[in-house]
Amino acid sequence: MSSDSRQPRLPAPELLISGHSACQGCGASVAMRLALKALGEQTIVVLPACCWSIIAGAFPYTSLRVPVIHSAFEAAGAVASGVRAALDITGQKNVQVLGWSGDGGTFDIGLQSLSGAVERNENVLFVCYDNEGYMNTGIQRSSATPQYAWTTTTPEKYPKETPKKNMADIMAAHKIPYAATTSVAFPDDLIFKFKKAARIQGSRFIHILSPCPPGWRIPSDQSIKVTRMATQCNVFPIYEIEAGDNYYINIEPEGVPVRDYLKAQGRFSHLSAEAIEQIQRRVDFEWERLLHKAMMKRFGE
Amino acid sequence: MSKPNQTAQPGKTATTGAPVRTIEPAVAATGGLAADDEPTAESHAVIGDGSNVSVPAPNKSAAERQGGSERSEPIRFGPSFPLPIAPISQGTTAFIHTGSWRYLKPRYVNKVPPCRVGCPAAMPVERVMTLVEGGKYEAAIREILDENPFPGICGRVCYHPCETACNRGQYDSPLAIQLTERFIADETADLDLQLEGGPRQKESVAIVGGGPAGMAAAYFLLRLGYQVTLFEAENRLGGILRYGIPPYRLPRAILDQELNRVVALGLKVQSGVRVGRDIPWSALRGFNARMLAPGLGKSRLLGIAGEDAQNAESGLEFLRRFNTEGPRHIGKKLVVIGGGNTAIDVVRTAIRAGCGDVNLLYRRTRAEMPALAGEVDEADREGVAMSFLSLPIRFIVDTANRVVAVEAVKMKLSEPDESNRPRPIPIPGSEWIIETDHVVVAVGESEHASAMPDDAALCREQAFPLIQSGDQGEFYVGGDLSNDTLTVVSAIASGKRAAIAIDSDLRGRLADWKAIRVADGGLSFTRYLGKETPGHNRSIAIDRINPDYFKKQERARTPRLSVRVRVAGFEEVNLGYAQSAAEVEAKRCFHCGVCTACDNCYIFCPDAAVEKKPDNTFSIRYEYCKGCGICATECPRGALDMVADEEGINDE
Ligand SMILES: Cc1cc2nc3c(=O)[nH]c(=O)nc-3n(C[C@H](O)[C@H](O)[C@H](O)COP(=O)(O)OP(=O)(O)OC[C@H]3O[C@@H](n4cnc5c(N)ncnc54)[C@H](O)[C@@H]3O)c2cc1C
Ligand SMILES: Cc1ncc(C[n+]2csc(CCOP(=O)(O)OP(=O)(O)O)c2C)c(N)n1
Ligand code: SF4
Ligand code: SF4
Repeated sequence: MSSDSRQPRLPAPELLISGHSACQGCGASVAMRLALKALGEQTIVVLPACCWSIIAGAFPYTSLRVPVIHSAFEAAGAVASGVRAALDITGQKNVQVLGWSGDGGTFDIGLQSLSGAVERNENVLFVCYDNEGYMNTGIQRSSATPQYAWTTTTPEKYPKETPKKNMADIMAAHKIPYAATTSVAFPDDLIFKFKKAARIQGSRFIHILSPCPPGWRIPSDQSIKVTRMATQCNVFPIYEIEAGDNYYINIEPEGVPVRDYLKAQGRFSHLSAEAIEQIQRRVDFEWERLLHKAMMKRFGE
Repeated sequence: MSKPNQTAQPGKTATTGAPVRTIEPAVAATGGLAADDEPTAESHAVIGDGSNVSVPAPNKSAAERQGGSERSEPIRFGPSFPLPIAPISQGTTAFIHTGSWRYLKPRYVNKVPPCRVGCPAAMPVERVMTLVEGGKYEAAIREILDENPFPGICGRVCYHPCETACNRGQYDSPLAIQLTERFIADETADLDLQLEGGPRQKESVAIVGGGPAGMAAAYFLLRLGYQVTLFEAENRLGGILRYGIPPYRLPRAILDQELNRVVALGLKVQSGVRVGRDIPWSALRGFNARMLAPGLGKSRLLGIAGEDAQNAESGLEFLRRFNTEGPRHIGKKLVVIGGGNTAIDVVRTAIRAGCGDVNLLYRRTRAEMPALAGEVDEADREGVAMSFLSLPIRFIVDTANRVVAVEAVKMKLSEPDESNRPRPIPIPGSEWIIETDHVVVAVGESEHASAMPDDAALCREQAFPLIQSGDQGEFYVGGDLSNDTLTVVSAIASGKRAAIAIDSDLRGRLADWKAIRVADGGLSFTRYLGKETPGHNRSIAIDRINPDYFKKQERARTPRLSVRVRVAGFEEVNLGYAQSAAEVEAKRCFHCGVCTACDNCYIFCPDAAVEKKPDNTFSIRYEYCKGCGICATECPRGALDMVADEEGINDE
């Protein structure tokens, strides 16, 4: 039975075309689909090498109903700046430029061009859909890979000892107008943030946690559920940073132990109780720190 | 549920890749700027001086850009379709049927929520909750009245097995279904509902007994268009509802209103007529069908000395007198024996009649009492003294044959008896004496001598029970006489069953008893009328509810009259829900196994394969669905199942 009074929760345009080649249960396709629903048709996507450059379709096909320009792995920041300049010169200021990279293309190889672009405060919306590894080339570690997570380049014997890099803070350190984290498991939050970002001039950055069933070693149907747990247990808090200083936490955590989140994924199946305990302490500490940042007075008040 | 991803099956539609190989390598290299040898991402790069590159104008709509429509077919470059000067997409991925990747497929399968299975009258609780949430009380009462003629009565005295079955009970606390039902009944009490009946039938039906079973049978038969005559031994209708259950639990205005709704459908009532005494059983021969619902009118006895004393009576007699003649003086001290609803109604009535010292004796413990637990709690609050594991062994009478004291013995529990309850056995030497002014024995009821023709016997060989008499032929039967569970709602359900059996026999069609039963619960009249299809006639357990979508929230409190006020009279104790509380409760409903168009499946589908239709229903484009299972897992309420995919990828 259906209730007739309900408002549709999703904006109408369907800009993702079926038949694309993302894996079963891919979070990256959900992320793009929802983001474009929020931004609408007047958008140009800049795609460096990543899973999405495959999902968008092999030549001569496309899976998006908006223009896409594929770029080199390291160049999203630069190419997006160029597209922006071209649009501005031709008087198309209303067109949104969406730089859309994976975590490798954001945290690692693309960091310099991204940093350059946002430091210039280019009028671009940069997005990192973060599946916590180089998934397109077969699950290699990136600096977004969580500590101790299994990847093909961090097998059990040679674990990744360093914690995940904090990308939102790096972006905030550039004092850009808007930076935020969100997750495909919280579609209302995601759509809200894209709509909000679309109204802001200058550089904007949105970090989306985006599950990868083969890379995370989870059944495809669990991908949203596991991603939601990341936020429920504070591994991936959802917040906004305005003007680089003002932090707002958008989603209340639910006190789920980190253990539950780790246990749900094959990539953490080898973790010892001590390792889990250590991760929990780190997560608690980072959450505490985020709370402090969110309680600080705004700069200039 | 899901296994790791499966790759494309050979022989089915190609996924990405294949058509691309038709590109001439030399021309593909015009992009020429790939950073490595991957034939994918960078080979699309639109770089160069830009003059010969046509980036689609973003200010145009997508369809305009594509020349009005999207090209969705494999592209082969050649003389008729020249390769573009720069690698710009020429068509979409829509021709790639990724459904071939799938080995399980999602399917929308609405289930029967457990609440409805729990309700013997098959009340469509979940649908009703949706209507209450939307403030649609008239629609809600109509839904209820299609299955149960007495929501105001059940909303007060039902033992609410629906709530025991409610999945939410395993999460925080079950929905207050009964109080919500009562709220709807009370809220719509003044509406003139004009219940529609079926086409008028020429056949006549006789019903014996005007309790809930007989009245429910009459109601459903009247709605089916029959001429119904009901014989009732008492002067007024209602059976135990009127002569047993006290008004502080069931106000007579409510009882009358709901019984009158049945009479108003055209019921011919012959009250004050006990069939078999005032008229012979043979007087019913002229009817096309006959139904018996005489209840259990006779009280059981203890079989101990002094039971025939002047001031000793049965629970039914006691209540009957109160309920017909009004409050009367019964002395200062009262001993009541029994642990069922009758015993509890007696002690609570006595407290209200000003009896200051009410003692209840029960031979087992509180846990084994057959009475509704809530009623026992209220009796406790109202000051009834309860002696458990206590069995009376004789009533001590004076010369005027009046009981002056009860001698009782303490019991202990041993291994279970045939009723599967621990057997109480006396502890020798533990006897003691309780002085009293009056004694009431309420240890259960059995059938009245005049309940059926002398030579009749109950027969359970059919889909429904029958009473068979050599002299008088067959009678349909319902209520306490034939039920295993002696409750009002079971009586109602058995009346519905008799009405359906009579209709299908008289109309000469076979009722599909399996299809009209909601899962393994009660019979649905709506289904019998064909107004509802059985669908996937199975229930749904809590493990299919996704807790991520439901905040913990206890049920709304039940407002009750204060003990001080209530014991001073016979006013209704349970005050029922206000609109706000009913709405809060309705919002707590999980809608187990029933799609509410919440959009989750549509929102989370990574393949845009879930289509939302204008009427707020969904369909799955199976040619694209990769079978990831996210929709089924993220459905808050288990309305989607993952099923084996045998029919091929494009069915439905
Ligand atoms: C004191 C008490 C309290 C109860 N409380 C509850 C409760 O809170 N909740 C609950 O669910 N259940 C309760 N019950 C049980 C419930 O009342 C019965 O299960 C239910 O009333 C049975 O319905 P019925 O129609 O079969 O019989 P009855 O209600 O007994 O009605 C039978 C009718 O048939 C008439 N009759 C009998 N023989 C003839 C004849 N030969 N000719 C004409 N008329 C005849 C009788 O006069 C009577 O009116 C209670 C029972 C008692 C005794
Ligand atoms: C300079 C360069 N180095 C390596 C590659 C190969 N390559 C293509 S995609 C990719 C991984 C991308 O990882 P990430 O950015 O995290 O996105 P994901 O695939 O995980 O979505 C790599 C290493 C490349 N295209 N260019
Ligand atoms: S939550 Fe709602 S649908 Fe589910 S069993 Fe309870 S009342 Fe019925
Ligand atoms: S997710 Fe929502 S819309 Fe989809 S089937 Fe379940 S209840 Fe219906």
